Amino acid sequence: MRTADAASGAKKPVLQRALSLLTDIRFLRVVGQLVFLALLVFLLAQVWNNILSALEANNLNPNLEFMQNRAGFEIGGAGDYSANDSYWEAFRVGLENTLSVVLAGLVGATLLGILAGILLLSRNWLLQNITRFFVEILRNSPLLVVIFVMFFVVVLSLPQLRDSLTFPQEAIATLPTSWILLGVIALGMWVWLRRADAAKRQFWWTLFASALVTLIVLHTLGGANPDTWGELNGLGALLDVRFLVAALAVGGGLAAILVFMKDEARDAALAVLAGVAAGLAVYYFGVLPNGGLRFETRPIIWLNNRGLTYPEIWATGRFAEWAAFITIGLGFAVAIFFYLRRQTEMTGKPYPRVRIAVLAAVIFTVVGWVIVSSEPVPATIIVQQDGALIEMPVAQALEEDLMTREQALAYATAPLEIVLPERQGLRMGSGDTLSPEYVALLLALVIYTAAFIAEIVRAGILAVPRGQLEAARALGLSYNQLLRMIILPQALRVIIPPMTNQYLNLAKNSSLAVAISFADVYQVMFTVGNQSGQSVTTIIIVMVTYLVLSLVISGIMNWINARFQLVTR
Amino acid sequence: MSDVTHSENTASAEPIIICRKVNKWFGEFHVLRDVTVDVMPREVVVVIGPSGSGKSTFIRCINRLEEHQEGEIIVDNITMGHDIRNIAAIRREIGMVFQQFNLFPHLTVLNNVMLAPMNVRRWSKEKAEQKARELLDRVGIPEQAEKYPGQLSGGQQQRVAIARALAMEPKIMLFDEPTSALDPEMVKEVLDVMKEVTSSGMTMVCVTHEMGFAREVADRILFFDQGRIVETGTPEQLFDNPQHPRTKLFLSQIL
Ligand SMILES: Nc1ncnc2c1ncn2[C@@H]1O[C@H](COP(=O)(O)OP(=O)(O)OP(=O)(O)O)[C@@H](O)[C@H]1O
Ligand SMILES: [Mg+2]
Repeated sequence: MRTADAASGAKKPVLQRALSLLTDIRFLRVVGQLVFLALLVFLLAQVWNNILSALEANNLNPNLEFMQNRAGFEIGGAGDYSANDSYWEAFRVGLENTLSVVLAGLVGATLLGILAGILLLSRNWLLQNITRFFVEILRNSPLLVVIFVMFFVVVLSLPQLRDSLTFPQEAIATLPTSWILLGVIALGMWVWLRRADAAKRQFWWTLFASALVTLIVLHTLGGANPDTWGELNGLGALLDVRFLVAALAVGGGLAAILVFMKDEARDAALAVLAGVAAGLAVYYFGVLPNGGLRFETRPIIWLNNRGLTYPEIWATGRFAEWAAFITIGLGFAVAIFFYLRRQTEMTGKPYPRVRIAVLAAVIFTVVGWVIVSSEPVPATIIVQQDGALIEMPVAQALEEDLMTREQALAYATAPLEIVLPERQGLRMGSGDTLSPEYVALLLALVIYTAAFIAEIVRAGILAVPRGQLEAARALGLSYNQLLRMIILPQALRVIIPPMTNQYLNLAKNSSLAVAISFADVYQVMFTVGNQSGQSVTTIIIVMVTYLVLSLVISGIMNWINARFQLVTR
Repeated sequence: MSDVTHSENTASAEPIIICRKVNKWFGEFHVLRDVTVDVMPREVVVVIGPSGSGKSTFIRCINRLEEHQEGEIIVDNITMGHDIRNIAAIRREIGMVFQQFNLFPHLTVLNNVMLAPMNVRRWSKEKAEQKARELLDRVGIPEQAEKYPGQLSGGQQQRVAIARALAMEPKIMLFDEPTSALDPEMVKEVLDVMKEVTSSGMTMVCVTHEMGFAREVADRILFFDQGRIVETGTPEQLFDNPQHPRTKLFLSQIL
């Protein structure tokens, strides 16, 4: 066909050939693009010229020099900025605020959105419909209203400083040793028996349960005989470790005999021996101490109408060393993860590779902390006392509170120093505070965007055809495997593109901060523009800022998206 | 009503699938009524019947893709109940091929076939891959291993689906109208593969409208109507000399 076309084309006169070009779809495509480009350039040039001439008429010439001038206005909550700094500094503060709210917002909205999306598919009628109710309300409200509601109704109605809501509540609690012991035993049994067959599980849990029952029975008897059980009675007897172990022994023996009759001879004998031996030994010698762990809880988070206060976390002089431990631990964890995955591929034997890797990282982190913290401290330190520099032991300096903040950090033993929030009269004496505006804006952005993400997640999961699940189940995949290997990869493919839109929306919507006077980049630059009269330039700066932000977000999301698309014909 | 007729070559063995008075409802709708049937090892049972008569529902009950409400289903000596371990154990021994193929579109053909052996049977990658390539060879598409399902024709996809089910080395294969979604020229290639599978001695329960295929490979035919097994017999008995008026009507319409 093609050769025939070309041959007949060659014979045609030039004019006819040119005319036939006019209806050639390939030619038309190129021409169409060129025409569009030309129009665009022309329009942009017109707009630009108009702006320039309008500015000139007002004696303004756009450049960035004015940005170095003194700002002259304060920004609330910005510790490292004052009115004497330049406009650039003000811009930086605004940019930091925007980035902070956008980043936290993206993470929060994603997590909450995924959770809500899954709840929307829940079989539990109540959960599903409560979630549906909130999602519908949020999706059908203007974001500005949500922000105002968060700010005026929720955040500003928080109590005064002196009635702050705190979490956790300040309290002192004691956890008796015997309960800890019971917990440890139960946990150990649970881990050990998870994969065991039903008979074995039944046996050991029967033992455990009957020991508990025996404990309570003995306690009642023992309570009536103070000589035997010390001055323990009532609940106190329950807390006696010797009591517990004796009970475990008796109960264990009983349970064992019960099961012994059911042909579980070896396990039964084991239980009798272990239970009785441990019980007698501990009861006779009173080896284990009585008492328990004493917990003192202090508030970590304070919430009042001045914002949300959380602990200050300072990296001390030893932080770098600890960080090195963590880095090595992470590297090790990754290596062990891939090694085990390879092993599983090669042998088919399943290893809990995620758990082992996490455990490795945790061990490195904890051990690193212990090692780093136990390194010796220099004996003496030079501090300022009554105007003079004097050398004294570190412990003494610490005691008399003479070190500067920097010295305290340099000489601290732990890699991190955590300063809990504390009230000092009419203000918070320590702790970092997020302003009410920030909290309101973040909350509003998170829940509003999460409502949309929830719908996206729901739709993405529903988009996986039923047949996929049936095929996976027919092959015998477990529910977890089905989620991980079949649903997730296919749902993500549908979820990611609209998710990108929501992320971009969140980033741009953060500029609504201006409504509640949160000093984000838009609000700051708006003020700068008003003050300097350079509104065109400031608006361009704002536009470029949001453009870069959006490009970064969509660039990352496109990269992720490309990895999930399906290959088709 | 539906007395069990064993084909002679398996009469001495234990049945591998036992269904006793199986009943199932979708809401008010009574889909399966007192379905009672035994399938012997290596037996090929073909299920036919009008649309909506419950054929799919029946074979989906065998590997618990549907839950029956009354009666008993015992597969390979394991009773189908609510114990997930029993369900998992039964599913490992049963391969299933669907009308719509249901291949995993995000995995290559090879990975589709290797997925279950590696993750359910816990075979090594090497072993699973060897088995997968062997099976792709057997179903006649060794050269498609690295492609994605979306790049294959319907007939090729269905053959991959058969290979995927066989890769688990099941004792029983279930087919639910495996050729109904295929163009006529692809039907034959799939039927040929299925014939080859039956000749290897696999126990098989197959819902199909391909009467020629049924006549050729079936040891026994079950005729379903309104959730009941109305008539059962060898292909010759059922096709050439149907007893029940409903069977006669159905066959006169379809043949
Ligand atoms: N999930 C379901 N909920 C309600 N009714 C159902 C469901 N699945 C099937 N049914 C109904 O049960 C009946 C039997 O369905 P089934 O799919 O088993 O029929 P079939 O014999 O396989 O028909 P076909 O030859 O068309 O595939 C039909 O009337 C169908 O509408
Ligand atoms: Mg069907």
